[in-house]
Amino acid sequence: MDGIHDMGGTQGWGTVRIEPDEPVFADLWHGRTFALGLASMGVSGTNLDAFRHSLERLHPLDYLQHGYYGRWLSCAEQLCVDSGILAPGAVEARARRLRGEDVEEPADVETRKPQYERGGAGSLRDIDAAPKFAVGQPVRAKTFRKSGHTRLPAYIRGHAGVISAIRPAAVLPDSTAHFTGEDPQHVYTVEFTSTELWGEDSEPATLFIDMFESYLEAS
Amino acid sequence: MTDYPHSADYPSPQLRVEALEALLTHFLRKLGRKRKAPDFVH
Repeated sequence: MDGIHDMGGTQGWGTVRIEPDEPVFADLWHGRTFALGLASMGVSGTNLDAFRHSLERLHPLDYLQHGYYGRWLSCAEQLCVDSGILAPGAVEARARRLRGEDVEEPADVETRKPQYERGGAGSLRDIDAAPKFAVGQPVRAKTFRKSGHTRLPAYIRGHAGVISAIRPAAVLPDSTAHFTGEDPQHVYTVEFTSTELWGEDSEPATLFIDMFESYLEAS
Repeated sequence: MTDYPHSADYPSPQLRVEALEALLTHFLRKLGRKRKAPDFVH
């Protein structure tokens, strides 16, 4: 889906500051949020792709203001609400009580975890279909726009590249994020030039983007 | 279209972590009461 999360390939965000001695968790609550994020996927019966899709659905202002682990915290909460583990507003109400406000907490709700079958552990799968594309073959990223989850970045769509490598087949996040099946398919590393993506005046560079087979068409 | 409302007065992340941990613990304890204890192999 379109949204503030898909900022790859865009400009105007300022210089990326790299901290040479950056700690794994800059604050205690970051580490606890990391653990809660992983726990939320297990408790809610969802998966990593559903977690990423919940990131995409954050309010744009919150996405930009809350920072990396702030986003994780919102998603952990949302997955639990989606699956009926927590009532909507339960975390906010409890947090307000913790800071001394006299607010009523919502009653427990009925759990409604998603029902879907996994084809195995992890994301890699063996499939019988032969790869549709070969190394060295020109391809073009499709221009589709989805209201749901996809791992095809907006700045790649419609642009031409060349297959650089064929990777192991994997489940399609566009499908698993919505619990509609795994739809495993081949994954390709596709080589794009910066001039193809951003025009002749762009800084010379080569980009290698991993893409699912259904994201590509022959060029 | 976002699913989440924006609140300018949302509690701090530290308090939300405390709240989420407590609520998940409550849920898991409630779940545990409904389940038979697992048979561990020694």
